[in-house]
Amino acid sequence: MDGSIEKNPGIKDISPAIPEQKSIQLHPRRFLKLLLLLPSVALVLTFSYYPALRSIVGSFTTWNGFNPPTFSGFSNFVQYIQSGMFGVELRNIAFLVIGGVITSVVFPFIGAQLVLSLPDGKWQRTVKYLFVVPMVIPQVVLIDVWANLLNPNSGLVDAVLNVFGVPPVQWFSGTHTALISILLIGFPWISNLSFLIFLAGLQGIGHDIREAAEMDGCSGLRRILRIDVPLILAQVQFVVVISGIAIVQNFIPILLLTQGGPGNATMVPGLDMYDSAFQNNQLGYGMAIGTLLFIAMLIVTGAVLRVLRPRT
Amino acid sequence: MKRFPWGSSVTIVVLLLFTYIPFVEVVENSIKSDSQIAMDPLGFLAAFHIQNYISAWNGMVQYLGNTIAVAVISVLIAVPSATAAGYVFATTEFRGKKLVFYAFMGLMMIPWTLTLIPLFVEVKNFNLYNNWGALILPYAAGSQPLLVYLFRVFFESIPADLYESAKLDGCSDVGILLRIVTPLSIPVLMTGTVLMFINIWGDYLWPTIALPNYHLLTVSAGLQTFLGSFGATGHGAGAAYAAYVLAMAPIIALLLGSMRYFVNGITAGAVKG
Repeated sequence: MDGSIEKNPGIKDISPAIPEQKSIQLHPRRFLKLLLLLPSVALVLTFSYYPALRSIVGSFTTWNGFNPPTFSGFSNFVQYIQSGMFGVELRNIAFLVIGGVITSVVFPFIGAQLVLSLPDGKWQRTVKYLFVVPMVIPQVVLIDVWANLLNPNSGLVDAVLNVFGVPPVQWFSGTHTALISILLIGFPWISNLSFLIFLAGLQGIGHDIREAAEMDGCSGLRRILRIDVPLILAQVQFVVVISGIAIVQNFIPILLLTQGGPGNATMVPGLDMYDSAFQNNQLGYGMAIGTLLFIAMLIVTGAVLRVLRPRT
Repeated sequence: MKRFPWGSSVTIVVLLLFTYIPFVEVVENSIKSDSQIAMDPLGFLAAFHIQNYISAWNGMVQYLGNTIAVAVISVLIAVPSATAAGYVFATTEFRGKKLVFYAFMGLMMIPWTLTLIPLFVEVKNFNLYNNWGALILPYAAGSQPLLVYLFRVFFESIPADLYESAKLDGCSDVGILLRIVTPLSIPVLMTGTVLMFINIWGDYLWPTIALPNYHLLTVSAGLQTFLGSFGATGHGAGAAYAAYVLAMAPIIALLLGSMRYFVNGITAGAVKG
């Protein structure tokens, strides 16, 4: 490596000779170089693109996973949309996505603003790292911990509420509180990847602009809405899209804590898909739900990108 | 020098307390005996009850080992593949380059709810079902979009002269990758490795689907299996809390040792928009 750097000046002297060399030698070499794409492309084609396509094709079949699938047109889609579950699941997932996007955008944004209001240096960095650490705690641990916290008999939350004279809340087992309980997991929601994304974005704006705005009497909430948010709109857009997609897919808390219940109070399309395929052997039906989710995500993402387009 | 921001400092302390209290409670309960937890779940007085950790370690150690093995092999497949692809994207012009690159990036938009069922069928057909290949290959594939993106951006920041001069010295592309790109790119390769470890550590659903043999499970799924066995084994709440600590501690330690790489990895993609 050192040798090549030393020879650098010498290369400039012979530069007229290079184009000729290129035309003769580089073609086979370039072909070989493109072969370097192969491992990555092969992985992605085999384990990402193929199953994705297979899912869309399979959604038009009836299939129990053992016999060969049989073509059945749109019947899976029709069956799902006409089932009583569709409306319930749509309402629940809409609630979780809207609530979840707020918790994973607004609260991390507030956290980033608070951290930036600290003086630069050691303390700011320490606080930032303290908010980063919980991001890597495995989701199943977080879920179990919150199931304990919200346990009506022994949990910390009801114990605290009890001090204020509030009767025990049934949280996950209450029809009206179960969905909200799912949202509560992770409170106060600062430790989210979007915290780091906002922090980097706001630091990218730079002190000068923010301080100049304050000098001009544009401070506090006004500065945040007029200066900060428009300047990091690209990050806001990114965070809204990725957290929306993540929430639509993440039925793990529901799978572990309520299985969609009580009744159907926490039933969501992702869990319905999982149950159809892995409990009821209705693989085609499950893939149809997965395909519908994918299409819905594309539409919503497109809409979000349009509405939050950065104005230059 | 501005006034010290008391208001936001107090708010931050409160938010940090709310964030950490649940996990402090876990650590605290992990050293109590089961009867102490039952009588006084929130109390802080406890004699260190080591038995919880012995039970939890015996139950969890296989899953911790499995996770490390799966993560290491996945990284050894995914990182070199993405390095090679990122190198091509960073240094070569070819027809359709934009399209191929977007095909990689577009994968970030494909939800795993779409691929879950066919992937399950596919690993069965490939005879990967019920062995670690069912985890390793999809994990390696799933990491490609982000890794290829991160690596490409990083490699583009290496001066092109360096590649050119090595080429003129007769260095092959593989030689350039091994001897020039890799040593210069340790930080971004670390970033990719750390992000993969964290994702694999946290994945619960796919191992439960692909590995019916619970001895093979990784830590998140294994933790639930261990907790589910309590009725039969007579373990109590204390061992459960100790198991939570064992499931959190290694990945937090990894993060603390590589904080800079993790933070860079998360922000690198987003800031450039």
